[in-house]
Amino acid sequence: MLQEGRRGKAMDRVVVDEILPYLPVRLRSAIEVIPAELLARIHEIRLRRGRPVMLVAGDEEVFVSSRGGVASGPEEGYVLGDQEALVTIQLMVGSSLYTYEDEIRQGYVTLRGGHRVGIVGRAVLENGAVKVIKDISGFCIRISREVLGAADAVMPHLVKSHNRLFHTLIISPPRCGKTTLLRDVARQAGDGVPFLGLAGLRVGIVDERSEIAACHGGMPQNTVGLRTDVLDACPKAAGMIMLVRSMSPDLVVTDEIGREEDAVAVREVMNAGVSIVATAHGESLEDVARRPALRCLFEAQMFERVVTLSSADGPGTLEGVVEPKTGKTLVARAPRMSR
Amino acid sequence: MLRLLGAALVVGSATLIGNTVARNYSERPRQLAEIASALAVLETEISYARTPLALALARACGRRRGLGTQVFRIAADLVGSGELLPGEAWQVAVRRMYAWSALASEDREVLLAFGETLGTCGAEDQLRHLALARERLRTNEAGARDEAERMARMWRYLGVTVGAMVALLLY
Repeated sequence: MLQEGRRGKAMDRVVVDEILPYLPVRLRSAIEVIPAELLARIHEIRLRRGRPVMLVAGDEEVFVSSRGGVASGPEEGYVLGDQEALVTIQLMVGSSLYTYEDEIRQGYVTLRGGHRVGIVGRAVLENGAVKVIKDISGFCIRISREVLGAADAVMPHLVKSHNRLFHTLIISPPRCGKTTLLRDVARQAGDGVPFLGLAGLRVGIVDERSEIAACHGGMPQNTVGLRTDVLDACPKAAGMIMLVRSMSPDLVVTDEIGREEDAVAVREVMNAGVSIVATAHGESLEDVARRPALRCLFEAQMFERVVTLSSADGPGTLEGVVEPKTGKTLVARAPRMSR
Repeated sequence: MLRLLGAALVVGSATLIGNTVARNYSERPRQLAEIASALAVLETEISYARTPLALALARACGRRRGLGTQVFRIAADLVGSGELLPGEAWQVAVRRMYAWSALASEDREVLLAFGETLGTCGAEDQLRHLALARERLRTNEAGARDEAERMARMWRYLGVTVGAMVALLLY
């Protein structure tokens, strides 16, 4: 598993230091007394108005008790009140809903540290498009953990020459470690990997959702490499072109491509002679190659490497590295390693 | 000689009281103008930079030391602390500032009404509420200026006249 690598942040402090400050005081106190071992494994906190607060750690789901700590069942759970939901969103947006308007319109907010919070409520439409989400009723806080060394297993298969990486697509369903892997690829490429013969590359990250570099005030909070520039909160398609034109990168890195304009931008980047490493949601290579927006990229055999992840042995399980042109499997899933 | 000195003191004191009251009248439009100008800065911060509220409020206050802009400084601190919702923080700030200011209750109502929407809506709506508050404050300021001109003059004359009358009566 990729998580076996060196961790960038102390595991047991991520929830306490980076998530709890965004929660209402009473809920904060209830979560604080949960054993540190469990807090260290949590990767999602689910808040739903009028229903008990749920913590997700791997396949395990537990409820927060109204008396603090872990509840024995939902009936003993901490129920999120209307006012608390209001306070939560205000804390998350720094009391400035207008600053996060575009993100909320897309259904999420990114917290300091790169933690993405999905938001649901009542959508208000204008000309058929979502203008704003009102009466927010649920939050899904996805805890992002930087794992230095997450890309150690795949890097040898991504290096094309001393100053180039193969055009690579990382595929996995949600919560399988795509972004974690992508971040570490960017870091290693930006720093250089001498033992693989890879010199440090000029890396440009287009971080539309601020999850890769977790920028705050324009400064990356995660380790992204010595020669890495981050274009934060910029739409992917426009951002890729901007980077190529303005920062002369050797490698462009971006998360979750999937729309027509993304595919057009990817082609432009490749045609400009710049390597690209991107991710896409999907179960497998076949699954992603069937998607209308991305089909053209696979038909033209633009990607030279495809990395597939799953959560079979926990988030970040490396399913394989494939060379699409020949169909050759370079790496197959390794048997589960014991911690 | 002593009588003369006493009379001069009476006239001087009454004039001073009259002038102080007169100055108070001219304070209100000045403070309203300060608030309106800080609101304009807030509008720019929200409109062009989408600056987070605590920082936007602090910038709206800037280095100005006027009493009117203190509402922005207090609100910026309270919002920054994260202990209060922005609307609540603004209410506290307005009430604190109002106690020391020359503002009238109708000015306070405008400010409190504006605070109800602070930080809780998108940029477009936020700017609309800002423009409305500025417009209403401008109307209040125009009224306050007229009143200040009339009342300030009256209180100055009144101070001197009453002082002179009392001095004559005592003399």
